[in-house]
Amino acid sequence: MSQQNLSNNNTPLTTVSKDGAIKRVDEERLLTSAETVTKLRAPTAPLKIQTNNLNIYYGANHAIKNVSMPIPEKQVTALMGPSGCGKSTFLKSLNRMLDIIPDTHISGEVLFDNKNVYANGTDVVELRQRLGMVFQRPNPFPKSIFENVAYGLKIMGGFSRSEIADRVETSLRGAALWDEVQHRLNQSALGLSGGQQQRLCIARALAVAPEVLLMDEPASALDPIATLKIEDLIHELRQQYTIVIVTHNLQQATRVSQYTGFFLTGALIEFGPTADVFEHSMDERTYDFIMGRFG
Amino acid sequence: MSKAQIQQADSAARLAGSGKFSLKKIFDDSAAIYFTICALIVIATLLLVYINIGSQAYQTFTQWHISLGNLFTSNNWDAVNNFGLKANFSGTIMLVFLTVFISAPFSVGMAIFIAEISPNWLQAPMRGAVELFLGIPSVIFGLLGLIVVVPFVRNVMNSLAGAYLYNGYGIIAAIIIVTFMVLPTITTISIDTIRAVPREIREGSLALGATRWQTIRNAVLPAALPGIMTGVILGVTRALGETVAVAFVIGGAEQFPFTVNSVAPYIHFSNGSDVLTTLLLFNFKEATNNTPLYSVLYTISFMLLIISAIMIAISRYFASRRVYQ
Repeated sequence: MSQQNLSNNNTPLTTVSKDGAIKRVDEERLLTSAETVTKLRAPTAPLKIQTNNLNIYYGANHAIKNVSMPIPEKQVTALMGPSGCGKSTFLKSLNRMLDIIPDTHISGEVLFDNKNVYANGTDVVELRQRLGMVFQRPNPFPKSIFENVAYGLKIMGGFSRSEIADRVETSLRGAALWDEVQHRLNQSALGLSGGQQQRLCIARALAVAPEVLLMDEPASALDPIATLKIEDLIHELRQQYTIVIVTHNLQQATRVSQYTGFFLTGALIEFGPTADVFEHSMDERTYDFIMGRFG
Repeated sequence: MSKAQIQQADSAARLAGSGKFSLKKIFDDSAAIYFTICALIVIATLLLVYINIGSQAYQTFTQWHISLGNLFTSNNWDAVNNFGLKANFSGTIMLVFLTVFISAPFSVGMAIFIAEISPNWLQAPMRGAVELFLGIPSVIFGLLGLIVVVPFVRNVMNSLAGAYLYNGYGIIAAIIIVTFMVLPTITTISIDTIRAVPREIREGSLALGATRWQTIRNAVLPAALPGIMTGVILGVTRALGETVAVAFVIGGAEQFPFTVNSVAPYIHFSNGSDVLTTLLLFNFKEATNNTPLYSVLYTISFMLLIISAIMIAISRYFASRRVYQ
């Protein structure tokens, strides 16, 4: 832990009383003290996405404050922070899923392969196919397993039936679900367990051959065993895809990610390699969060 | 105190309380009795309706020796000796199917507009308007039918035929009227069921690169389909049972809704026909007890009861298939 940084701050956020008990951080103070200057340890890997001075407003609510964040290619980047800190909003801004929420205003830029996705003339349909998304709660369509995975391909059009069948199989294999469902592809996806449904949703995203997978707390609704399977899968997928994962679970961040960004009240407080962020926090608030003093 | 001790104390307290005279207990017991009586009344009424109408209908076959075959294959109705229901039955089938066939696509389209496309501020008033529509008494529809639809049908058909052949009464006017009556039934249920599709389903589809229309067509509507079918079946039930509004415009003649022959335009709509419900309405006040007509009218009632029971069963089936409540 970097003692220097901690001592720089005039008033500590936590106090240790004589008997050693740590008082809770005053969250009010945290809310007002969220700076918009990020303590950044720049990644060495080439970047897939870079946001520059991204600001997002829901009506009058300033949800994302001046976030500039690099996202390295074929790495897992975890976004962590307490509830309501804007990490899901940030994730949804990357593939323009915020477009469907009325009264949302966005400034700044999101560079995806060095092209601003908010520039005029961006093909949102193509963008969303290149940046696949997995949601917090498994959300399979009330259709068969096969139809769920084939959905994106049928939307795109121009695939023959055998091509679709091939892609469905590869995607299900890619999501480590093929062995469990290969004999019941025509059964309803809603009959699967929660963990299987979530892997189906990953397969569904993989089917349209994305470059990036955006995962919004993909394991938060799952039991520990299903969670482990998803995490193993994330390790596998990193070989081919750039992954951004929002997580509530600090251990999960250390298990699956190579880079971590810490959000607080809409600002990116700290970003760097996961091990560094966890073991040598540059910001006191990151340290407090990791130590479980708030959030 | 251990858990066992607490339980013991609990049950002791309960025993002590149960023996005592308490106002709370009296309210509790009398409420239970009241609700039981309510439930029994409903069930008893239903049973009485079925038994009463069923037993009267049964006399058609035992006392008057009219067979089901007679009723359905004969076209001859004189309300005294001949009770052929073929024309009325065809009228009912035609009315129900065409009505629902025309109104279902409109209703679902309207529901999609209200639930998916219209801006938020417009949704509540639109829905309110549909519900207002649903609440219009059928006699109003009948009057409008008589004043607006019958002349309209008359003018259009006569100008198409190039001669004054039609008086405007009959199955076409009835279909137009009942279509408007069924529309809000299917629409309100479709709105509810489309709204019940979770946002995650729409997001999942949009995140795969689907456009809004693709999302509605491929994700929202399939998820909402069982609910929409429930609405359609309820629409069928409404069209089947509608009497007053139809009576205004149907013409009340015991003949087929249309005839087909080799003379152009090949299909000739009848000036006035009848459906099962209006046949009941027009004949019951003249039917006296212990006549074949009386029993036959009960048979028609019983058929309507059975068909609507089947429809309710089908709608229950679709309701049970709903994924999102």
